[in-house]
Amino acid sequence: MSQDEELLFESLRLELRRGSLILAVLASLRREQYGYSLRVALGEVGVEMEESTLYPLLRRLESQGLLDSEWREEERRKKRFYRLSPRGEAMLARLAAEWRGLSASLEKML
Amino acid sequence: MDLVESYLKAVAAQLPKATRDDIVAELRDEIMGRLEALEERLGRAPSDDEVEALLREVGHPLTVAARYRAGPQALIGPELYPWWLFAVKTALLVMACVTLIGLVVRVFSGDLYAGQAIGQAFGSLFSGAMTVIGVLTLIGFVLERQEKKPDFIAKWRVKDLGLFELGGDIDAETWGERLARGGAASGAAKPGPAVKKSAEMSPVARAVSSAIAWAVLLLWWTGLLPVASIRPDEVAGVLDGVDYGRILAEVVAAAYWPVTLFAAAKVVFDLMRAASGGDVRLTALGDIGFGAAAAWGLLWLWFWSPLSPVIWVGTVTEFVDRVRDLFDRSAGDGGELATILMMIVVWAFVGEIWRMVRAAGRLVAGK
Repeated sequence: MSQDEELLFESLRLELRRGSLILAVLASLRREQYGYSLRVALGEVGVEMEESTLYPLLRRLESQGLLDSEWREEERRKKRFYRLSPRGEAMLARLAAEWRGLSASLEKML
Repeated sequence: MDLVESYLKAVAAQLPKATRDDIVAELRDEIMGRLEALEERLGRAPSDDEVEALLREVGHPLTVAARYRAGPQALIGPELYPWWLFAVKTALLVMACVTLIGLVVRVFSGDLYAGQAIGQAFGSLFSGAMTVIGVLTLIGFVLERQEKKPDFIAKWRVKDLGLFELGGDIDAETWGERLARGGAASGAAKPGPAVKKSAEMSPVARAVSSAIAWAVLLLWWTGLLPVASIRPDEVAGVLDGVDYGRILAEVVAAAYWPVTLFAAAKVVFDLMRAASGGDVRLTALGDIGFGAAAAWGLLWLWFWSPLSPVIWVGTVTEFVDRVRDLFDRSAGDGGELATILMMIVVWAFVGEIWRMVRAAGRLVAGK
């Protein structure tokens, strides 16, 4: 029973967090990062993401014009660095306002 | 290091050429970063097992590569799935009805013992069901990958919803009722499935359900839908000294291509009708055309087909006499089937003429 409860909680938690991942990625990329360092940085603040989720997401956000990227050599390896584009910054501001609004109204309910 | 490279090669094989190198390079960097972190933590180079465990954490090449693919990640997505399920349920229901009718026909015509017939019916129903599910899945797969989903998903009308009561409530009680109605609706010469249409349905929904019914009939007629127990040419039986099996086989042989053509044309026409939004004049024209073709087919049955000697009567008086005989005589005197067939053909002919007259009216009035 308690194991079922845990499984259910875990799946609901994942669902709850899924929508916030994009916001977390956009916010972290106000500072330039490459894939691995971004993943580590997100993990440190408690937003863990699998690489098979993060990398396709980065690609998608870039194709939507929200991110810019460039290949550069660092520590003897070629790395792809991502950074928020001007369009991405505007989008992040709007999404952040949305997030705060949602959070505030939820906070009142909870 | 070889492990990582073979892993990346497996991922690369699944990726589209245009983005392959880019994605693999980035993935390589990610894995290297993780390996370095692992090495730092262990204070030594990781073993092959540890590297493999790390790669397993990254994910199977098929899964990883799939995440980068642009198209949908499901065979049939959540939006389309209920439609697919409904189509499967309805098709299976229709097939079960057709099989059951065929089973009854076969057992009563003395072609097979009940046990044998039931076994064969189940066998053919199973393979038929697999075919239908396969075809519907293929259609769903293709639709799922269209940019724009078909109109009927978004632009439905409340008055069309009667159609969805058909497969929605499959339970024993309504089942028997539907079966009885389905059995009564299909004629002896063409025991095709009859999709019940309620009078309130919109023209488009009627066109779609008609297209589905005719498509099933067409598949069955051409043997593509292996509901083998009632392939018409396989029914055999001698009744009242008339070899109905032979007659049926000859009728089917002679009518094979005309009926195939008729059904195919009907499916195409119904789809056109649905696409045109159920245009009244187009529908009326079609009803006249198909009515004329069907009437011609019935005239052929009456005058020239191998069945003609059994059912033909020269005058109305003779017709009435035969019908009266059917009701007067006690069962078992013989000749009932011939008379019933005679009545069905005449009734169907009158029905077709009536349909054409009504269609002509709609053609003129435009509504």
